[in-house]
Amino acid sequence: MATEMSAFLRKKIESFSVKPVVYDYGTVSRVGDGVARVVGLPGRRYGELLQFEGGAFGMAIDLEEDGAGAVLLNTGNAVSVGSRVHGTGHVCDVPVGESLIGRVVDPIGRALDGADIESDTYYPVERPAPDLVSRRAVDTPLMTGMISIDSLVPIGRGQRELIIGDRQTGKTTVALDAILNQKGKDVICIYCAVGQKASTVSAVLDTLRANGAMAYSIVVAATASDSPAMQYLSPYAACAIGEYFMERGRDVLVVYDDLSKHAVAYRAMSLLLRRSPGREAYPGDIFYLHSRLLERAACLSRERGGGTLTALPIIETKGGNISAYIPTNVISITDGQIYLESELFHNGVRPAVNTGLSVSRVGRAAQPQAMRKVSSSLRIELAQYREMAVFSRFGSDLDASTRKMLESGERLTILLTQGKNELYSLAEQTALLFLFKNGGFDGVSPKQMRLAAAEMLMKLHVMCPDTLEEIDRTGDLSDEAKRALLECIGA
Amino acid sequence: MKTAKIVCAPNVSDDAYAYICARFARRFGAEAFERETDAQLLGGFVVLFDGKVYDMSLRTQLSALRADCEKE
Repeated sequence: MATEMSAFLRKKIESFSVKPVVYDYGTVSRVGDGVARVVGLPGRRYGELLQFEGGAFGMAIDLEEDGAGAVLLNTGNAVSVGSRVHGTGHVCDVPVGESLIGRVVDPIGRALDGADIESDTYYPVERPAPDLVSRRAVDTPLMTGMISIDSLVPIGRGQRELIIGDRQTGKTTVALDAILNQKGKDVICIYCAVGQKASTVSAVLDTLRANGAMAYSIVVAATASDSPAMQYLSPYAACAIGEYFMERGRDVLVVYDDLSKHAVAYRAMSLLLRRSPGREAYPGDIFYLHSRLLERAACLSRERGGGTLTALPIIETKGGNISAYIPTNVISITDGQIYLESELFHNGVRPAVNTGLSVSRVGRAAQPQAMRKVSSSLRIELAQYREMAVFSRFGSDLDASTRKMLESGERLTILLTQGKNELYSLAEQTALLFLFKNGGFDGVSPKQMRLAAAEMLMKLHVMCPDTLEEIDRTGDLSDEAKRALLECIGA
Repeated sequence: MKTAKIVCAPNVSDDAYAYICARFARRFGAEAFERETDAQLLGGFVVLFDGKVYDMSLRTQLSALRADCEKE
Protein backbone atom coordinates (compact mmCIF):
# COMPACT_ATOMS: atom_id res chain seq x y z
CA MET A 1 0.00 0.00 0.00
CA ALA A 2 2.77 2.43 1.02
CA THR A 3 4.78 1.51 -2.08
CA GLU A 4 1.77 2.10 -4.28
CA MET A 5 1.16 5.45 -2.65
CA SER A 6 4.74 6.64 -3.07
CA ALA A 7 4.74 5.46 -6.70
CA PHE A 8 1.51 7.36 -7.28
CA LEU A 9 2.92 10.54 -5.73
CA ARG A 10 6.19 10.23 -7.67
CA LYS A 11 4.25 9.86 -10.91
CA LYS A 12 2.11 12.88 -10.08
CA ILE A 13 5.11 15.06 -9.18
CA GLU A 14 7.01 14.07 -12.31
CA SER A 15 4.07 14.83 -14.57
CA PHE A 16 3.15 18.05 -12.75
CA SER A 17 3.95 21.16 -14.77
CA VAL A 18 4.60 24.39 -12.92
CA LYS A 19 2.43 27.13 -14.40
CA PRO A 20 1.75 30.63 -13.08
CA VAL A 21 -1.77 31.03 -11.72
CA VAL A 22 -3.19 34.28 -13.07
CA TYR A 23 -6.44 35.82 -11.93
CA ASP A 24 -8.13 39.19 -11.48
CA TYR A 25 -8.15 40.84 -8.10
CA GLY A 26 -9.87 43.79 -6.54
CA THR A 27 -9.29 45.82 -3.41
CA VAL A 28 -11.74 46.53 -0.60
CA SER A 29 -12.42 50.26 -0.57
CA ARG A 30 -15.16 50.31 2.08
CA VAL A 31 -16.41 47.77 4.58
CA GLY A 32 -18.96 47.80 7.37
CA ASP A 33 -22.14 46.14 8.68
CA GLY A 34 -21.55 42.98 6.67
CA VAL A 35 -21.17 44.75 3.35
CA ALA A 36 -17.98 45.47 1.38
CA ARG A 37 -17.35 47.63 -1.63
CA VAL A 38 -14.67 46.32 -3.95
CA VAL A 39 -12.75 48.32 -6.52
CA GLY A 40 -11.49 46.52 -9.59
CA LEU A 41 -12.34 42.88 -10.14
CA PRO A 42 -13.75 43.06 -13.68
CA GLY A 43 -15.82 40.28 -15.27
CA ARG A 44 -17.65 39.16 -12.14
CA ARG A 45 -21.00 37.39 -12.29
CA TYR A 46 -24.09 38.29 -10.27
CA GLY A 47 -24.12 36.13 -7.18
CA GLU A 48 -20.52 34.98 -7.60
CA LEU A 49 -18.65 34.00 -4.46
CA LEU A 50 -15.71 36.27 -3.72
CA GLN A 51 -12.81 35.27 -1.51
CA PHE A 52 -11.25 37.93 0.66
CA GLU A 53 -7.70 37.97 1.93
CA GLY A 54 -7.78 36.11 5.23
CA GLY A 55 -10.32 33.53 4.07
CA ALA A 56 -13.65 35.37 4.41
CA PHE A 57 -16.23 34.86 1.68
CA GLY A 58 -18.69 37.30 0.20
CA MET A 59 -21.25 37.31 -2.55
CA ALA A 60 -21.25 39.87 -5.35
CA ILE A 61 -24.74 41.31 -5.65
CA ASP A 62 -24.05 44.75 -7.07
CA LEU A 63 -22.03 44.85 -10.25
CA GLU A 64 -20.72 48.20 -11.47
CA GLU A 65 -18.28 49.34 -14.11
CA ASP A 66 -15.46 49.99 -11.67
CA GLY A 67 -16.16 47.43 -8.99
CA ALA A 68 -18.71 45.40 -7.10
CA GLY A 69 -20.76 45.50 -3.94
CA ALA A 70 -20.57 42.32 -1.90
CA VAL A 71 -22.29 40.98 1.18
CA LEU A 72 -20.09 39.12 3.62
CA LEU A 73 -21.18 35.60 4.45
CA ASN A 74 -19.05 35.08 7.53
CA THR A 75 -18.98 38.04 9.83
CA GLY A 76 -16.33 36.49 12.09
CA ASN A 77 -13.47 36.90 9.62
CA ALA A 78 -11.84 40.30 9.56
CA VAL A 79 -12.03 42.16 6.25
CA SER A 80 -10.34 45.53 6.17
CA VAL A 81 -9.95 48.37 3.72
CA GLY A 82 -7.16 47.52 1.31
CA SER A 83 -7.73 43.73 1.58
CA ARG A 84 -7.40 41.87 -1.68
CA VAL A 85 -10.40 40.06 -3.15
CA HIS A 86 -10.67 37.59 -5.97
CA GLY A 87 -13.55 35.84 -7.64
CA THR A 88 -13.95 32.09 -7.23
CA GLY A 89 -15.83 31.62 -10.50
CA HIS A 90 -18.62 29.82 -8.61
CA VAL A 91 -22.01 31.11 -7.61
CA CYS A 92 -23.13 30.44 -4.06
CA ASP A 93 -24.22 26.81 -3.74
CA VAL A 94 -25.48 24.41 -1.11
CA PRO A 95 -25.06 20.66 -0.60
CA VAL A 96 -28.20 18.68 -1.42
CA GLY A 97 -29.25 15.05 -1.11
CA GLU A 98 -30.57 12.36 1.18
CA SER A 99 -27.79 12.98 3.70
CA LEU A 100 -29.46 16.25 4.68
CA ILE A 101 -32.63 14.58 5.94
CA GLY A 102 -32.82 14.90 9.71
CA ARG A 103 -30.14 17.59 9.76
CA VAL A 104 -29.97 21.25 10.72
CA VAL A 105 -27.87 23.36 8.36
CA ASP A 106 -27.10 27.01 7.69
CA PRO A 107 -27.81 28.63 4.30
CA ILE A 108 -24.48 27.57 2.85
CA GLY A 109 -24.91 23.98 3.96
CA ARG A 110 -22.71 23.90 7.05
CA ALA A 111 -24.03 21.57 9.70
CA LEU A 112 -25.34 23.27 12.83
CA ASP A 113 -26.03 20.04 14.67
CA GLY A 114 -22.73 18.19 14.73
CA ALA A 115 -21.03 16.10 12.07
CA ASP A 116 -20.28 17.57 8.64
CA ILE A 117 -22.76 17.06 5.82
CA GLU A 118 -21.57 14.37 3.43
CA SER A 119 -22.78 15.14 -0.05
CA ASP A 120 -21.22 15.09 -3.51
CA THR A 121 -24.01 17.09 -5.08
CA TYR A 122 -24.28 20.85 -4.85
CA TYR A 123 -27.05 23.07 -6.22
CA PRO A 124 -26.72 26.82 -6.75
CA VAL A 125 -28.99 28.60 -4.28
CA GLU A 126 -30.42 30.76 -7.07
CA ARG A 127 -31.94 28.60 -9.80
CA PRO A 128 -34.51 29.34 -12.48
CA ALA A 129 -38.07 28.23 -11.78
CA PRO A 130 -39.41 25.28 -13.81
CA ASP A 131 -40.77 26.47 -17.15
CA LEU A 132 -44.40 26.25 -18.27
CA VAL A 133 -44.01 23.01 -20.22
CA SER A 134 -42.48 21.25 -17.22
CA ARG A 135 -45.50 21.93 -15.04
CA ARG A 136 -48.91 20.35 -14.61
CA ALA A 137 -51.99 21.48 -12.72
CA VAL A 138 -52.13 20.90 -8.98
CA ASP A 139 -54.18 17.73 -8.46
CA THR A 140 -53.08 16.02 -5.26
CA PRO A 141 -54.03 17.26 -1.79
CA LEU A 142 -51.52 18.09 0.89
CA MET A 143 -53.48 17.40 4.03
CA THR A 144 -52.57 19.54 7.03
CA GLY A 145 -54.62 17.61 9.58
CA MET A 146 -56.49 20.80 10.54
CA ILE A 147 -60.21 20.70 9.69
CA SER A 148 -60.57 24.44 9.19
CA ILE A 149 -57.78 24.45 6.60
CA ASP A 150 -58.40 21.14 4.85
CA SER A 151 -62.10 21.90 4.48
CA LEU A 152 -62.13 25.63 3.75
CA VAL A 153 -58.70 26.53 2.35
CA PRO A 154 -57.39 23.21 1.01
CA ILE A 155 -53.78 23.03 -0.11
CA GLY A 156 -52.60 21.03 -3.10
CA ARG A 157 -49.13 19.61 -3.64
CA GLY A 158 -47.14 22.15 -5.63
CA GLN A 159 -49.23 25.08 -4.41
CA ARG A 160 -47.99 28.27 -2.72
CA GLU A 161 -50.22 29.09 0.21
CA LEU A 162 -49.38 32.09 2.34
CA ILE A 163 -49.84 31.97 6.10
CA ILE A 164 -50.40 35.54 7.23
CA GLY A 165 -51.26 37.19 10.52
CA ASP A 166 -50.07 39.37 13.37
CA ARG A 167 -47.48 38.16 15.83
CA GLN A 168 -48.65 35.52 18.29
CA THR A 169 -51.53 34.27 16.18
CA GLY A 170 -50.19 30.75 15.64
CA LYS A 171 -48.59 31.07 12.19
CA THR A 172 -45.59 28.88 13.00
CA THR A 173 -47.83 26.38 14.79
CA VAL A 174 -50.02 25.99 11.69
CA ALA A 175 -46.92 25.44 9.54
CA LEU A 176 -45.42 22.99 12.03
CA ASP A 177 -48.68 21.06 12.31
CA ALA A 178 -48.71 20.80 8.52
CA ILE A 179 -45.19 19.29 8.73
CA LEU A 180 -46.15 16.91 11.56
CA ASN A 181 -49.15 15.70 9.54
CA GLN A 182 -46.85 14.52 6.72
CA LYS A 183 -45.58 11.65 8.86
CA GLY A 184 -45.76 8.43 6.86
CA LYS A 185 -46.94 10.25 3.73
CA ASP A 186 -43.60 10.29 1.89
CA VAL A 187 -43.32 14.06 1.88
CA ILE A 188 -39.93 15.63 2.60
CA CYS A 189 -40.42 18.70 4.78
CA ILE A 190 -38.06 21.65 5.02
CA TYR A 191 -38.42 24.27 7.70
CA CYS A 192 -36.55 27.44 6.81
CA ALA A 193 -36.00 29.91 9.63
CA VAL A 194 -35.18 33.47 8.59
CA GLY A 195 -34.16 36.01 11.22
CA GLN A 196 -35.84 34.05 14.04
CA LYS A 197 -34.51 34.04 17.58
CA ALA A 198 -32.22 31.06 18.20
CA SER A 199 -34.50 30.03 21.09
CA THR A 200 -37.50 29.98 18.73
CA VAL A 201 -35.68 27.77 16.24
CA SER A 202 -34.62 25.52 19.10
CA ALA A 203 -38.26 25.19 20.22
CA VAL A 204 -39.27 24.29 16.65
CA LEU A 205 -36.56 21.64 16.57
CA ASP A 206 -37.77 20.22 19.89
CA THR A 207 -41.31 19.96 18.50
CA LEU A 208 -40.11 18.24 15.33
CA ARG A 209 -37.91 15.83 17.28
CA ALA A 210 -40.54 15.08 19.93
CA ASN A 211 -43.03 14.13 17.23
CA GLY A 212 -40.60 12.06 15.18
CA ALA A 213 -40.75 14.54 12.30
CA MET A 214 -36.99 14.91 11.86
CA ALA A 215 -36.99 11.52 10.13
CA TYR A 216 -38.38 13.26 7.05
CA SER A 217 -37.44 16.88 7.72
CA ILE A 218 -34.56 19.29 7.17
CA VAL A 219 -34.09 22.57 9.01
CA VAL A 220 -32.31 25.47 7.31
CA ALA A 221 -31.64 28.21 9.81
CA ALA A 222 -30.31 31.75 9.65
CA THR A 223 -31.12 33.26 13.02
CA ALA A 224 -31.36 36.92 14.01
CA SER A 225 -27.69 36.88 15.00
CA ASP A 226 -26.58 35.84 11.50
CA SER A 227 -25.60 38.44 8.92
CA PRO A 228 -28.31 39.92 6.66
CA ALA A 229 -26.60 38.07 3.79
CA MET A 230 -27.16 34.70 5.45
CA GLN A 231 -30.78 35.61 6.19
CA TYR A 232 -31.19 36.69 2.57
CA LEU A 233 -29.79 33.38 1.29
CA SER A 234 -31.73 31.13 3.66
CA PRO A 235 -35.02 30.70 1.70
CA TYR A 236 -33.18 30.23 -1.60
CA ALA A 237 -30.96 27.57 -0.05
CA ALA A 238 -33.99 25.78 1.45
CA CYS A 239 -35.70 25.88 -1.94
CA ALA A 240 -32.61 24.47 -3.70
CA ILE A 241 -32.47 21.61 -1.18
CA GLY A 242 -36.17 20.93 -1.86
CA GLU A 243 -35.69 21.07 -5.63
CA TYR A 244 -33.23 18.20 -5.45
CA PHE A 245 -35.98 15.94 -4.14
CA MET A 246 -38.67 17.40 -6.41
CA GLU A 247 -36.56 16.69 -9.49
CA ARG A 248 -36.36 13.08 -8.38
CA GLY A 249 -40.13 12.70 -8.33
CA ARG A 250 -40.58 13.27 -4.60
CA ASP A 251 -43.08 15.53 -2.85
CA VAL A 252 -41.61 18.35 -0.82
CA LEU A 253 -43.11 20.86 1.59
CA VAL A 254 -41.08 24.01 2.35
CA VAL A 255 -42.04 26.43 5.12
CA TYR A 256 -40.44 29.89 4.91
CA ASP A 257 -40.66 31.38 8.39
CA ASP A 258 -40.84 34.25 7.68
CA LEU A 259 -40.58 36.33 4.52
CA SER A 260 -41.24 39.63 6.35
CA LYS A 261 -37.90 39.25 8.10
CA HIS A 262 -36.38 38.15 4.80
CA ALA A 263 -37.56 41.41 3.20
CA VAL A 264 -36.16 43.38 6.14
CA ALA A 265 -32.76 41.65 5.79
CA TYR A 266 -32.74 42.43 2.08
CA ARG A 267 -33.67 46.04 2.79
CA ALA A 268 -30.76 46.32 5.25
CA MET A 269 -28.37 44.87 2.68
CA SER A 270 -29.64 47.14 -0.08
CA LEU A 271 -29.43 50.29 2.01
CA LEU A 272 -25.90 49.40 3.08
CA LEU A 273 -25.04 48.89 -0.58
CA ARG A 274 -26.42 52.40 -1.17
CA ARG A 275 -29.13 51.30 -3.57
CA SER A 276 -31.96 53.78 -4.05
CA PRO A 277 -34.65 53.23 -1.42
CA GLY A 278 -38.26 53.06 -2.59
CA ARG A 279 -41.54 52.60 -0.70
CA GLU A 280 -40.94 51.93 3.02
CA ALA A 281 -37.20 52.13 2.14
CA TYR A 282 -37.36 48.76 0.37
CA PRO A 283 -35.34 48.57 -2.86
CA GLY A 284 -37.04 48.52 -6.26
CA ASP A 285 -36.63 44.76 -6.75
CA ILE A 286 -38.33 43.69 -3.51
CA PHE A 287 -41.23 42.09 -5.43
CA TYR A 288 -38.82 40.08 -7.56
CA LEU A 289 -37.03 38.94 -4.39
CA HIS A 290 -40.08 36.92 -3.38
CA SER A 291 -41.62 36.17 -6.78
CA ARG A 292 -38.50 34.41 -8.03
CA LEU A 293 -38.38 32.35 -4.85
CA LEU A 294 -42.04 31.33 -4.81
CA GLU A 295 -42.16 30.63 -8.56
CA ARG A 296 -39.80 27.75 -7.83
CA ALA A 297 -42.67 25.94 -6.07
CA ALA A 298 -44.12 23.67 -8.72
CA CYS A 299 -46.05 20.57 -9.59
CA LEU A 300 -43.84 18.96 -12.24
CA SER A 301 -45.24 17.12 -15.23
CA ARG A 302 -45.15 13.31 -15.34
CA GLU A 303 -42.39 13.54 -17.98
CA ARG A 304 -40.28 15.49 -15.50
CA GLY A 305 -40.85 12.89 -12.80
CA GLY A 306 -44.05 14.29 -11.31
CA GLY A 307 -42.39 15.70 -8.19
CA THR A 308 -43.90 18.63 -6.33
CA LEU A 309 -42.64 21.45 -4.17
CA THR A 310 -45.29 23.05 -1.99
CA ALA A 311 -44.42 26.40 -0.42
CA LEU A 312 -45.91 27.74 2.78
CA PRO A 313 -44.45 31.22 3.17
CA ILE A 314 -45.25 33.09 6.36
CA ILE A 315 -45.78 36.84 6.59
CA GLU A 316 -46.18 38.78 9.81
CA THR A 317 -48.55 41.75 9.68
CA LYS A 318 -48.67 44.76 12.00
CA GLY A 319 -52.00 45.55 13.62
CA GLY A 320 -53.85 43.23 11.24
CA ASN A 321 -52.94 45.37 8.25
CA ILE A 322 -52.82 42.94 5.35
CA SER A 323 -52.74 45.77 2.83
CA ALA A 324 -49.19 46.83 3.77
CA TYR A 325 -46.44 46.69 1.15
CA ILE A 326 -44.83 43.27 1.70
CA PRO A 327 -48.09 41.43 2.61
CA THR A 328 -49.84 42.61 -0.57
CA ASN A 329 -46.79 41.67 -2.64
CA VAL A 330 -46.72 38.12 -1.30
CA ILE A 331 -50.54 37.79 -1.41
CA SER A 332 -50.41 38.60 -5.12
CA ILE A 333 -47.62 36.08 -5.74
CA THR A 334 -49.13 33.13 -3.89
CA ASP A 335 -52.10 30.91 -4.79
CA GLY A 336 -54.06 31.91 -1.72
CA GLN A 337 -53.66 32.81 1.91
CA ILE A 338 -54.59 31.55 5.35
CA TYR A 339 -55.31 34.64 7.40
CA LEU A 340 -54.92 34.16 11.14
CA GLU A 341 -56.67 36.76 13.26
CA SER A 342 -55.64 37.98 16.71
CA GLU A 343 -59.23 38.38 17.95
CA LEU A 344 -60.13 34.81 17.01
CA PHE A 345 -56.91 33.55 18.58
CA HIS A 346 -57.65 35.32 21.87
CA ASN A 347 -61.23 33.98 21.79
CA GLY A 348 -59.79 30.46 21.78
CA VAL A 349 -60.44 29.70 18.10
CA ARG A 350 -57.29 27.82 17.07
CA PRO A 351 -56.09 27.72 14.40
CA ALA A 352 -57.43 31.29 14.30
CA VAL A 353 -58.37 31.11 10.62
CA ASN A 354 -60.48 34.01 9.39
CA THR A 355 -62.56 32.12 6.86
CA GLY A 356 -63.74 35.31 5.17
CA LEU A 357 -60.28 36.57 4.29
CA SER A 358 -58.68 33.16 3.71
CA VAL A 359 -58.75 31.65 0.26
CA SER A 360 -57.15 28.85 -1.71
CA ARG A 361 -57.13 29.55 -5.43
CA VAL A 362 -56.05 26.14 -6.69
CA GLY A 363 -56.48 23.81 -3.71
CA ARG A 364 -60.16 23.05 -4.42
CA ALA A 365 -59.12 21.13 -7.53
CA ALA A 366 -56.95 18.91 -5.36
CA GLN A 367 -59.39 18.50 -2.48
CA PRO A 368 -60.44 14.86 -1.87
CA GLN A 369 -63.98 14.05 -2.99
CA ALA A 370 -64.98 13.09 0.55
CA MET A 371 -64.00 16.49 1.89
CA ARG A 372 -65.59 18.29 -1.03
CA LYS A 373 -68.91 16.55 -0.31
CA VAL A 374 -69.04 17.62 3.33
CA SER A 375 -67.49 21.07 3.17
CA SER A 376 -69.28 22.74 0.26
CA SER A 377 -71.64 24.84 2.41
CA LEU A 378 -69.35 25.41 5.40
CA ARG A 379 -68.05 28.81 4.30
CA ILE A 380 -71.58 30.21 3.83
CA GLU A 381 -72.77 28.79 7.15
CA LEU A 382 -69.85 30.37 8.96
CA ALA A 383 -70.30 33.71 7.19
CA GLN A 384 -74.02 33.74 8.09
CA TYR A 385 -73.22 32.86 11.68
CA ARG A 386 -70.61 35.65 11.99
CA GLU A 387 -72.99 38.20 10.50
CA MET A 388 -75.85 37.09 12.71
CA ALA A 389 -73.60 37.01 15.79
CA VAL A 390 -72.72 40.67 15.27
CA PHE A 391 -76.39 41.69 15.04
CA SER A 392 -77.44 39.52 17.98
CA ARG A 393 -75.25 41.65 20.25
CA PHE A 394 -77.69 44.53 19.85
CA GLY A 395 -80.82 42.76 21.03
CA SER A 396 -81.91 39.85 23.15
CA ASP A 397 -85.22 39.07 21.44
CA LEU A 398 -84.21 36.47 18.91
CA ASP A 399 -86.61 34.18 17.14
CA ALA A 400 -86.18 30.43 17.34
CA SER A 401 -84.64 29.98 13.90
CA THR A 402 -82.05 32.72 14.52
CA ARG A 403 -81.18 31.21 17.88
CA LYS A 404 -80.81 27.82 16.22
CA MET A 405 -78.51 29.25 13.59
CA LEU A 406 -76.37 30.97 16.20
CA GLU A 407 -76.05 27.82 18.27
CA SER A 408 -75.20 25.77 15.21
CA GLY A 409 -72.60 28.34 14.12
CA GLU A 410 -71.03 28.34 17.54
CA ARG A 411 -70.86 24.56 17.54
CA LEU A 412 -69.31 24.57 14.08
CA THR A 413 -66.70 27.12 15.16
CA ILE A 414 -65.77 24.90 18.08
CA LEU A 415 -65.68 21.82 15.84
CA LEU A 416 -63.13 23.62 13.66
CA THR A 417 -61.01 24.37 16.73
CA GLN A 418 -58.10 22.04 17.35
CA GLY A 419 -55.33 21.95 19.93
CA LYS A 420 -51.65 22.30 19.05
CA ASN A 421 -50.32 19.13 17.39
CA GLU A 422 -53.81 17.58 17.58
CA LEU A 423 -54.28 16.46 14.00
CA TYR A 424 -57.11 14.62 12.28
CA SER A 425 -56.92 12.22 9.37
CA LEU A 426 -59.04 12.79 6.26
CA ALA A 427 -61.55 10.20 7.44
CA GLU A 428 -61.86 11.75 10.89
CA GLN A 429 -62.37 15.22 9.44
CA THR A 430 -64.91 13.97 6.91
CA ALA A 431 -66.83 11.96 9.48
CA LEU A 432 -67.03 14.85 11.95
CA LEU A 433 -68.25 17.31 9.32
CA PHE A 434 -70.71 14.81 7.85
CA LEU A 435 -72.18 14.00 11.24
CA PHE A 436 -72.34 17.70 12.11
CA LYS A 437 -74.35 18.36 8.96
CA ASN A 438 -76.64 15.46 9.73
CA GLY A 439 -77.54 16.42 13.26
CA GLY A 440 -74.94 14.35 15.06
CA PHE A 441 -74.16 17.25 17.39
CA ASP A 442 -77.61 18.84 17.65
CA GLY A 443 -78.49 19.69 21.19
CA VAL A 444 -74.90 19.63 22.39
CA SER A 445 -74.10 22.78 24.33
CA PRO A 446 -71.16 24.75 22.89
CA LYS A 447 -69.21 24.22 26.12
CA GLN A 448 -69.50 20.45 25.70
CA MET A 449 -68.77 20.50 21.99
CA ARG A 450 -65.04 19.68 22.10
CA LEU A 451 -65.64 16.80 24.45
CA ALA A 452 -68.54 15.59 22.31
CA ALA A 453 -66.35 15.67 19.18
CA ALA A 454 -63.59 13.70 20.91
CA GLU A 455 -66.10 11.13 22.16
CA MET A 456 -67.63 10.89 18.69
CA LEU A 457 -64.23 10.13 17.19
CA MET A 458 -63.57 7.43 19.78
CA LYS A 459 -66.97 5.92 19.06
CA LEU A 460 -66.31 5.94 15.30
CA HIS A 461 -62.93 4.26 15.73
CA VAL A 462 -64.54 1.53 17.83
CA MET A 463 -67.76 1.06 15.88
CA CYS A 464 -66.86 1.65 12.27
CA PRO A 465 -63.08 1.45 11.78
CA ASP A 466 -63.57 -0.10 8.32
CA THR A 467 -65.56 2.92 7.14
CA LEU A 468 -62.85 5.30 8.32
CA GLU A 469 -60.21 3.16 6.65
CA GLU A 470 -62.20 3.17 3.42
CA ILE A 471 -62.53 6.98 3.40
CA ASP A 472 -58.78 7.38 3.98
CA ARG A 473 -57.96 4.83 1.28
CA THR A 474 -60.35 6.00 -1.43
CA GLY A 475 -60.57 9.69 -0.52
CA ASP A 476 -64.30 9.43 -1.15
CA LEU A 477 -67.42 9.26 0.98
CA SER A 478 -69.66 6.60 -0.55
CA ASP A 479 -73.37 6.22 0.17
CA GLU A 480 -72.54 3.07 2.08
CA ALA A 481 -70.03 4.95 4.23
CA LYS A 482 -72.62 7.66 4.88
CA ARG A 483 -75.10 5.02 6.04
CA ALA A 484 -72.50 3.41 8.28
CA LEU A 485 -71.65 6.74 9.90
CA LEU A 486 -75.32 7.56 10.50
CA GLU A 487 -75.91 4.11 11.97
CA CYS A 488 -73.00 4.67 14.28
CA ILE A 489 -74.74 7.66 15.89
CA GLY A 490 -78.07 5.86 15.85
CA ALA A 491 -79.69 8.19 13.32
CA MET B 1 3.14 55.54 -12.64
CA LYS B 2 2.35 51.85 -13.03
CA THR B 3 3.52 50.13 -9.88
CA ALA B 4 3.83 46.38 -9.44
CA LYS B 5 3.79 44.87 -5.97
CA ILE B 6 6.02 41.83 -5.71
CA VAL B 7 5.48 39.60 -2.69
CA CYS B 8 8.37 37.19 -2.30
CA ALA B 9 9.08 34.23 -0.07
CA PRO B 10 12.02 34.93 2.30
CA ASN B 11 14.36 32.70 0.28
CA VAL B 12 14.07 34.74 -2.95
CA SER B 13 17.49 36.34 -3.58
CA ASP B 14 18.07 39.94 -4.62
CA ASP B 15 19.29 38.75 -8.02
CA ALA B 16 16.11 36.77 -8.56
CA TYR B 17 14.02 39.78 -7.48
CA ALA B 18 15.88 42.01 -9.97
CA TYR B 19 15.24 39.46 -12.71
CA ILE B 20 11.49 39.36 -11.91
CA CYS B 21 11.33 43.18 -11.98
CA ALA B 22 13.11 43.32 -15.33
CA ARG B 23 10.77 40.74 -16.87
CA PHE B 24 7.67 42.59 -15.63
CA ALA B 25 8.95 45.92 -16.86
CA ARG B 26 9.67 44.54 -20.31
CA ARG B 27 6.58 42.34 -20.74
CA PHE B 28 3.83 44.32 -18.99
CA GLY B 29 5.26 47.83 -18.80
CA ALA B 30 5.62 48.07 -15.04
CA GLU B 31 7.42 51.26 -14.10
CA ALA B 32 7.93 50.95 -10.36
CA PHE B 33 8.16 48.06 -7.92
CA GLU B 34 7.33 47.48 -4.27
CA ARG B 35 8.81 44.50 -2.49
CA GLU B 36 7.15 42.64 0.35
CA THR B 37 8.11 39.40 2.06
CA ASP B 38 5.62 36.72 3.07
CA ALA B 39 6.87 33.52 4.71
CA GLN B 40 3.52 31.81 4.11
CA LEU B 41 4.29 31.59 0.39
CA LEU B 42 6.88 28.88 1.26
CA GLY B 43 8.81 29.66 -1.92
CA GLY B 44 8.47 31.65 -5.16
CA PHE B 45 6.64 34.95 -5.52
CA VAL B 46 3.32 36.66 -6.25
CA VAL B 47 3.03 39.79 -8.39
CA LEU B 48 0.06 42.14 -8.16
CA PHE B 49 -0.09 44.40 -11.17
CA ASP B 50 -2.84 46.20 -13.06
CA GLY B 51 -5.73 44.35 -11.39
CA LYS B 52 -4.21 40.92 -11.92
CA VAL B 53 -2.46 38.46 -9.63
CA TYR B 54 0.43 36.43 -11.12
CA ASP B 55 0.91 33.68 -8.58
CA MET B 56 4.13 31.65 -8.81
CA SER B 57 4.31 30.75 -5.13
CA LEU B 58 5.19 27.29 -3.91
CA ARG B 59 2.09 27.35 -1.70
CA THR B 60 -0.23 27.71 -4.69
CA GLN B 61 1.67 25.14 -6.77
CA LEU B 62 1.44 22.61 -3.91
CA SER B 63 -2.30 23.33 -3.61
CA ALA B 64 -2.70 22.66 -7.34
CA LEU B 65 -0.72 19.40 -7.00
CA ARG B 66 -2.91 18.33 -4.08
CA ALA B 67 -6.08 19.12 -6.04
CA ASP B 68 -4.70 17.08 -8.95
CA CYS B 69 -3.98 14.10 -6.66
CA GLU B 70 -7.42 14.31 -5.02
CA LYS B 71 -9.09 14.00 -8.41
CA GLU B 72 -8.01 10.34 -8.65
